[in-house]
Amino acid sequence: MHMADALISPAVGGTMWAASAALIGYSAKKVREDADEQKIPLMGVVGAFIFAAQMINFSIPGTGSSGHIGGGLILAILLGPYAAFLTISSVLAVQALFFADGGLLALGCNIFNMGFFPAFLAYPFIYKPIAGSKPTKRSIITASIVAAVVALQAGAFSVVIETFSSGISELPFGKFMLFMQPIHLGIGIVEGLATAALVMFIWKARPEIINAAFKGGTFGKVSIKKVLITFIIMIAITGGIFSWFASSHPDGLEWSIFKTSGTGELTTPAKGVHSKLSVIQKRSAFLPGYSFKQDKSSDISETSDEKWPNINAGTTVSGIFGAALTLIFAVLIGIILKRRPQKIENQ
Amino acid sequence: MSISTETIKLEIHALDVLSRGNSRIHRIDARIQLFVTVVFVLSVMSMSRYDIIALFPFFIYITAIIAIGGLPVISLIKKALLMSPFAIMIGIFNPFFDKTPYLNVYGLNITGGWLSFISIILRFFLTVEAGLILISVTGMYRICKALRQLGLPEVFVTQILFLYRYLFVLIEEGTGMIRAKELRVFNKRQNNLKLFGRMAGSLFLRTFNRAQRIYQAMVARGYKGEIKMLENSKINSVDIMYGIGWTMFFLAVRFYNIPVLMGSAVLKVFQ
Repeated sequence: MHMADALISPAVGGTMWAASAALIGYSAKKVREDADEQKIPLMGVVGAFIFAAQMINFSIPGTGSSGHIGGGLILAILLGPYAAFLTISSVLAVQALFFADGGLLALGCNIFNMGFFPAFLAYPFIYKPIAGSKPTKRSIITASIVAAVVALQAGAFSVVIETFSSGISELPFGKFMLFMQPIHLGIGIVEGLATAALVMFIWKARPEIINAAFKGGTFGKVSIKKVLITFIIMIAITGGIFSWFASSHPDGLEWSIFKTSGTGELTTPAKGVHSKLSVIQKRSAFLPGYSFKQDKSSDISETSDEKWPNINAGTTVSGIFGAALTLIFAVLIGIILKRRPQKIENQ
Repeated sequence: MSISTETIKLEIHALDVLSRGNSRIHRIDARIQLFVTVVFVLSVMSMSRYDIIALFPFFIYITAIIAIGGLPVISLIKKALLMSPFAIMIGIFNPFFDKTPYLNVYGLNITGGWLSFISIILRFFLTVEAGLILISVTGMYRICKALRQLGLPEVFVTQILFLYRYLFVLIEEGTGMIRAKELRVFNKRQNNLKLFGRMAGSLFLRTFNRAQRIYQAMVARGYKGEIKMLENSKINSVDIMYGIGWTMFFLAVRFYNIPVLMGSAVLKVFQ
C-alpha cells in the first residue's frame, strides 16, 4: 500500500502532506498535554518493535502463503490513537528514507492512508465499542477483524482516489478500485486475525497496557470531532491554494518564458526552438494530468491542430541527439567530480 | 514487502556509515539538503506526463552528488530496483489504456501510454535516488535536527530518534527469537497465527519492559521530555549558494527542454 512519488502529482502530495502534518502537530500536542513523558521513549521503541514484528511471518489460514502485520491497528490498541499515529508516521518515515519504500512526496499520502484510518477511524469508532473495556476472546477477534478490514478498505480507497486525482496512472477509477478493494479485504482479514492473536497474548499477560491505552488520552467525542473538522478545513484550504497555484501562477510564468523566447534571438528558424518551446509550453502543465481525463483528450485534439504529432525528422533527431549529449554530460560530471569512495568499515 | 533481517541491518548500517562521511556535500547544512531534495522531487513530479528526454538533465544532480559524496553507485541502484515493482505494476497499465499515437519516429507509432510508462519509471528512479542520496549525505541524526529546526513537533522528532536508535536492538532480539524457534521446529518454517501471537506478544512485552528501563535510566540522567541536540549548525554562504544554485538549475530544467535546445543548437552549428 506504500505509494511512490512517481505516481502522484505535487498537488495531491502537497495536500496530503499538509493534512498529515496537521494531524502530526495535533497528535504531538495531545501527547504533550497528557504530560506522559514516559510515552515518548515507549513510542519510539514500539515503532522499532513493529519492524521486528514484521520479520515474524505467519501462515495465512486457507492458503499456502505467509504474511506479516502492517501494524497500524495494533499500535492504536497498544498506545492509544495519538501516540499510535505519531509512531506509524515515524515507521513510515524510516521506511521511506532508508528502504525507498514510499517516496518523500508520497510520505504525506502514506501517513494518511496507513495512519489516519487505523488510529482515528478504526480504533475509536470500531475497535473500542466492539471490544469494550472488558474484552473476551471473541470480542477481541471480532473487533480486530472488523477494525482492520475497515481501516484497510478506507486506506485502499484513499490510494485509489489519490492515484486517480494525480492523473499519472491511466488506470480507470472503477477498474483500479475493483482491483484494490477485494485484495485489501483479504489483507484486512489476515491483519485482523494476526492483530487479535497478538492482542490476546498481551491481554492475558499484561492487561493494564491495553487498559491504559483504552482509557488514556481522554478520547472524548469532542476531540475526535475537532480532529475531523480541522482536517476537513485543512483539506479545503490546501486543496484550494494548490489548485489556484496550479492553474494561475505557472501559466503566467510559462507565458513569460514564451514571451521572452519568442521575441529574442531565437526567432530565426521558425520550425526550431520557437515552435518547440510553444509546444513545450502547451505540454508542460505545471501539474501533469491534474486536469483529469476529458482535459487530456482536449489537450490532444488541441495539439493535433498544431500538428504536434507530425514531428519532422529534424526535431526528433535533435531531441535524441540532445538527450544523448545530456546523458554523456551527466556521466562526465560524475567522473570529474568523483572522489575516492569511502571505505565502509565492517564492524 | 517484508524486508529480511539481514537487509535491514546491512542497509541501515551502510547508510549510517555513509552519512558519517566528510565530503563537501556532507558539510552542507541538512536543512538546505532537505530543501534541495524537496525542490528536486517537486520539479521532477511536475513535469509533463509524456516527458522523457526533458527528464534527463535531472540525472546530472544525481550523478554529481553521488560523485562528490563518494556514494556507492551500485548499491543505490540496487535499492531502487528492489522497490520498483509497485511503480511498474501501476505504470504498466498506461500502454493499455492510452493508445493515442503520440510520436511518429520514422514510421513507427509510439503511443502516449508507452511514453508515460517510461516517464513513470524514470521519475520513480529519480525520486527514489534523491531520497536515498539525502539520507546518505546527512544521516538520521542531522535530518531529525533539521526537521526540528524547521518546526516539526519535538515529540515527533524525539520519537523518530528513539525508533532509529532501538531499531538495531529490537531487530537483533527478533532475529534471536526466530532463530530459536527455527532450531526447534525443524523444517516447518511458517508459524500459525497462535504461534505468531505468542512470539510477537513476548517480543512486545520485552520491548515494553525495555522502554521502561530506558525511561528510568534517562530520567536518572536528567531527561525532561526532550533530547538536547548540539546547536552548532549554522547556514553559511556556501550552503545558500548550494541551495540557490540547484534550485535555479531545477527550475531551468523544469521549464526548458534543455536536451532538445542543446541538440538543435549543436546541429545548427554543424549545418
